[in-house]
Amino acid sequence: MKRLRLQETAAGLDLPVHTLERWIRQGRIPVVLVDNFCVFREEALARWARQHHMPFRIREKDAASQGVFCSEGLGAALQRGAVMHLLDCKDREDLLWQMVRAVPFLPPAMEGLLLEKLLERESMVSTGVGRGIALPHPRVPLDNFPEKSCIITAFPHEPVAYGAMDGQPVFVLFLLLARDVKAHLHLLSRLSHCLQDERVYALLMEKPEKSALLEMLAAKEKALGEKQVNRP
Amino acid sequence: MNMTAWMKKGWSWLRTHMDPRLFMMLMAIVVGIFGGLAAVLLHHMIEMVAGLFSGYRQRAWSFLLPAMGAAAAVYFMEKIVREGGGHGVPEVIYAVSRHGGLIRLRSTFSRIFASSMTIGSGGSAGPEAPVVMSGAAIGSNIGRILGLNERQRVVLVGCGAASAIGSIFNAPVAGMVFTMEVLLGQWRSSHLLPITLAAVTGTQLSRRLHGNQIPFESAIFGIQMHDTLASAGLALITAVVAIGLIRGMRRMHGLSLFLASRCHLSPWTRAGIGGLFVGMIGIFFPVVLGEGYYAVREMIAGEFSSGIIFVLVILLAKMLATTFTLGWGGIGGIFAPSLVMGAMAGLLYHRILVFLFPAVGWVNEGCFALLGMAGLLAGVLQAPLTAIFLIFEITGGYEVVLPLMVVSAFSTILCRYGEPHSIYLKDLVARDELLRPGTDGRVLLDLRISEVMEKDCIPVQRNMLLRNFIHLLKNSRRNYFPVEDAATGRFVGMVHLDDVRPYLLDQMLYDTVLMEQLMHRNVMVVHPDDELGDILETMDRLGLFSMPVVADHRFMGMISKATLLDHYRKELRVQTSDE
Repeated sequence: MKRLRLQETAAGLDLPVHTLERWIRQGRIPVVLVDNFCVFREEALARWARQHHMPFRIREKDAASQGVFCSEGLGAALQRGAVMHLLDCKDREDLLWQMVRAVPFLPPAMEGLLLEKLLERESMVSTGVGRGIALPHPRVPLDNFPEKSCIITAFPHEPVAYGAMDGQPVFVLFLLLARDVKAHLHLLSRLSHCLQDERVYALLMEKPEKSALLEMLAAKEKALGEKQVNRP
Repeated sequence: MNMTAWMKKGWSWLRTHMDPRLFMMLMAIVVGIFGGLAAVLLHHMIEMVAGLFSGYRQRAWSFLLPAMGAAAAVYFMEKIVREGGGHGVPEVIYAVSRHGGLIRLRSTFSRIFASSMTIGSGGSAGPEAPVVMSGAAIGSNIGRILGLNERQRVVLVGCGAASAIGSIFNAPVAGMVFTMEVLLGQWRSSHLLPITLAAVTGTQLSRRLHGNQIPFESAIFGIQMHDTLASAGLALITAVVAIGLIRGMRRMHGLSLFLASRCHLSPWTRAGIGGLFVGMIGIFFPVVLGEGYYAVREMIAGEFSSGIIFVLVILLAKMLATTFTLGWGGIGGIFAPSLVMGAMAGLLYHRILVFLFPAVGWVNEGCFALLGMAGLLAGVLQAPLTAIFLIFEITGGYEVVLPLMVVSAFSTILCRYGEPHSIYLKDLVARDELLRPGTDGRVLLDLRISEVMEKDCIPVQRNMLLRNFIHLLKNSRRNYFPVEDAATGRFVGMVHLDDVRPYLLDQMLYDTVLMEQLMHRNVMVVHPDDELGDILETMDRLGLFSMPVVADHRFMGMISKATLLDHYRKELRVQTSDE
């Protein structure tokens, strides 16, 4: 026997609370209401939900894990990834390869795959967005990697020919690895917003250290508004 | 811990831990006992009232008895228990379809007393509908007191009705079938099993108290093929009689209401006047008085007075007496008069047959009386199964089953041409209140606006700049934006994304256009208490896909067809499943 709050049960069945309340009153669902608590046999309710093509998931502690994405801003992702100052690199592929190897917690078996995905994306349309900036990323997130989004920043010693839209060689690259497409777009939108700022651009030209970069971007992100940060 | 708290705890444990199906079986037995007792009580009450009046039957003023009985019955209903009149059965169907089977406690006994007064004094009505109402009310109130949910309560209502019918006719299958076919209108195993058990309990109880009597015992008939074929013709007669009865009741009711409003008659005087007419008919044809089962026994035994014209006149007299009793507001059922008239119709048909084809060796007229009963019942109630099983059970003969099925089936179909709905459902259908589970009307009735309303619309203020609105657009999920007055919070209009789209990329307008200039002012709104059926009708008529919900000039949310479909499907699946 399981005992859950009415609201939690309704959320688990993806129903409005009013509907669940009415169904219990009408006896259409194998749940008994005792003092605003739903009492039910878990397997019976799961079977009922299956029969009626309804989702049924009890999320008691899941709310915390849901919050992860919400709090995951640009700063956190940058913090997780390295900021690299590369001394020598032959070409675009070599540059990307060095960045892939710097990805934290990436199993060595997946390194080749990731590089392949990055190059595949570059071959469609270059991720060199102009003014010497490139945002390489795989077209779709890798399976089960990463658990939390991260961004690897690289400043090659000499600007590298990247096939960017405006033809300029790139001097800074942000490798975006997100948990899912939604998180990816969220990060991309944040990053592009920051990069439009001339002060940020000027800072990037100086090839700053990780701490300086983080400080600047964190301030910028904060200005974007708390409200937006908390919205998925 | 004291006793009540202990019992409460035990009850709550039982409710949550016991298998619901087994639980309902147990409850069915409890309800079955009470339903059976109600039927036995009514039986005794009618006999008692009839015995009370029997001493006065020979007096000159005895024709006043039905008037007194009917008036007293309606007075009792109107003034003492304060309930509306009516058969009882439509009220139960209405309660089942609209209120989850909720019936008032006083209905458990009110119609038993009222109908025993009507019938015992000679009114032409039956005890079945009142006892169905009592049984159903018993089931409903047991369910209510124990805090059961609506579906369980509806099952208990059915259990009460089935046990009452089973008990009063000594016919458990008929009780069960009547409940499923007429009262609940759906066949589900979750309903059928408890109702079966309740019918058995009720019937067993009445057998224990009354003995296992078959109400209309019949001899062996020796039915041949030509009799079965001829029974199809009987269906024509019973259908005509059924249509005549249903229309006669309606006309009589209309007439009585008209006269009552003209002469300012109270309901009980009205019933009394109806009873007076019944009494006067009774002077010439005493056979029409009361439930009339004695006459049925005579007819089945083949001992009824002879003559085609005589039977026809008696049939019309009985019909008139019934319409005067029930149409003028008397309390009682249509079941028993239908059986009597059906037997008469069967007799009439048999005598016509014998007159036309004297050379053919027809089965005796008692058999056709039986078939006529089934035919008329099937036509009036639009319930062929109930008719077949009831006649089959109350006569104790399996032999008649073939012609019985023929006459019931044909009579139901033929009657439908004249009267598409049964006498019980007519008024409900006319008021658009017959809502069987799983129908469109029922699904829409159950869904409330608060359940299907989308609450994640972002309100904007009427003096908001387009620039700010575009900023807000980024975080919105909906295409509709209600516009509110900043000072009062009143809803003033709606902005749709389509209205903004042309100016979306025109930076010049960002700081020059206000939301007020973009919004629609005369928006059709709905109130949270509106019925969804009406709202959908409005949407269809105006070609809308969504409408704002507004209460007290405050925006509450949006109703959209897309979300509604989602909820509608869920509701339909849940309503039509048998779990």
